[in-house]
Amino acid sequence: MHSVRKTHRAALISTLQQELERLSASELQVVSVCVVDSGIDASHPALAGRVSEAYAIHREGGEAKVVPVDVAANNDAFGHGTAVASIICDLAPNARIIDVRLLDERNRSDLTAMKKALQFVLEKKTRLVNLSLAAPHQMHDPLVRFCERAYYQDQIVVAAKRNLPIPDAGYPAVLSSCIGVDTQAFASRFAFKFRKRDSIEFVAMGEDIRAAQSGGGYTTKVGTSFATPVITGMCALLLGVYDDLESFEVKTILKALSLECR
Amino acid sequence: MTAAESPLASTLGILPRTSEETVLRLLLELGMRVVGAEEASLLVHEPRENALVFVMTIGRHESEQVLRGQKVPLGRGVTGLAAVTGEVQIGAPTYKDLDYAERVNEKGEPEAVIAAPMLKGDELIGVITAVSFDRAKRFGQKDGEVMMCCAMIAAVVVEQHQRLKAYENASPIPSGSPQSRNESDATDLEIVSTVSALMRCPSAKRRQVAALLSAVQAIIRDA
Repeated sequence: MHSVRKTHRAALISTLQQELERLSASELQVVSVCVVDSGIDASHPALAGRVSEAYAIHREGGEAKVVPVDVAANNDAFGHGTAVASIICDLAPNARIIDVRLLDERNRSDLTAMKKALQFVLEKKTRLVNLSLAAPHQMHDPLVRFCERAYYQDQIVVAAKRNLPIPDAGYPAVLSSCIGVDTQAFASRFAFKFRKRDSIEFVAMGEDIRAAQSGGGYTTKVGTSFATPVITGMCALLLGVYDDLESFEVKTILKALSLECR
Repeated sequence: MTAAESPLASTLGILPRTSEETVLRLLLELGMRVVGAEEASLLVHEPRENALVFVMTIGRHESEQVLRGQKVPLGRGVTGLAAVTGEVQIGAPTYKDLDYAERVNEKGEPEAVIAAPMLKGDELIGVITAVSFDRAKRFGQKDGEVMMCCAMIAAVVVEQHQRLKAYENASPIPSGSPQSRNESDATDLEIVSTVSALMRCPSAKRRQVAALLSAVQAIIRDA
C-alpha cells in the first residue's frame, strides 16, 4: 500500500512539475519582483524589457536614501544581481523586475542602508521579494519586523541560506515568515525539495545553473544565491495563474510540488 | 628555495621548510585533491599595491615557476572578487550566447576556478585557489565549502605565526597591525612580550625576577 502511494505521489509530482514547465511557456499575469542585490545589467539581451524600475541605496552622511537610476543602464556593481534576475526571468516569463541596488562592489552594505532598502520594498508592495543575501545576526530584529510586515501585506520573501553556515545559516532565510532556500544539483531546474522542520525549508537548483553575465554573455553559477531565484521564479509562475494566493498558500503548494519531504 | 627567494617569507615572514610552510602546503594539497583540481595556489594580500601576490602553487610544476610573484589586482577575476567580497567565488567559462556553444575565455585560462578568502575577522590576509584545465570540469557548492574550510585554517596558521613571532621577538606591536586591532589582544601581547623579555635577563637576576613575579601573582590572586 505504501509503495503504491509513493508511486502515485511520484507520478503526481512529475505531472505537476511538467505543469510548471508548461506554465512557463503559457500566458500568465504579470508579477512584480523586487530584487534586492548588487544591481542589474538591464542592458543585457536576456533582461531586455524585463526590468521596469531601478533604484540604488545611497549613503549621505549618516543617512541612506533611495535614488532612482537609469533603468536601461548596467547598474550591477559586480555581477551578482544580473545573474539572479536572469534566473527569475528565464523561469518565469511573467516576472517584471524592480531593481534595488543595495550591495556595493565588495558585496557589502550596512545596517542603515539595509533598513532603508527593506522599508522601500514594503512601500513598493511587490508580491515577491528576492533576497539572495544572508545578513548577520545583528540584523535579526529589523529583518523579523520586515518579514512579518511583508507577510501581512501578502508579500512573499524568498531568501538565500548563507553558503557556509558559519556562524549561522543567515537572516532572513532562517525566519519562518520567509521562504529560505539552500542549494544542490538537480536534473531539472523545475525540481526542488522541501525539508520538514528545518530552518531552511527548500532546496533548489543552484549548481551549474545558467545565468546572464553582467556586461554581456552567459555563464553558469553555483551557490544558494542562485538557487533562491529559482524558487522566486516558481512563485511568480504560481502567482501568474492564481494572483490571489496568500503567502502561506504559495508555500504549501511549493511543498506539495517538491520532490520529497523529510 | 632560500628565504630571500621566497615570496612567502617576504610577505608573511614564513620561511621555507618550516612547519607553518608545510601546513600551508598540505592545506593546498588537501583542498586540491578533495575537490578534484589540478592546481592550487596561495596568494597573499599586499595592501600597498591593492593586489594579491602568488606565493605558493602546487600541482603542475611549471605553474609555480610562472606564477610565483605575479600579482592579481583586487576585484579582478574570480580570485580578486573573492578578495573584495570576503566570500568563496566559483568561476565557470563565459559563453557568447544562449546556446552556450562559443566560449569567451582566453587561451590558457583555467576552465573552472574556486577562490576562497583567508580572513582574520574582516581583515583580508590572502586567497587560496583551486583550478582545473579540464573542459568538462565544474566545481560545485560542496567544493566551495571545502576550499573555504581550508582557507579558514590557513588564516589561523598565519595569524598564529604572527602572534608567536611577536612574542618571541618581544617586539612592540606596530600600530595598525592585525595584533593591535583588538585592545584586549594588544594588552595580552604586551604582557607576554614583557615576560618574554624578562626571561632573557642575566641569569644572576633571574631568581629576583621570579620572586617578584610570584609576589605580583599572589597580589592579583588575593585581590
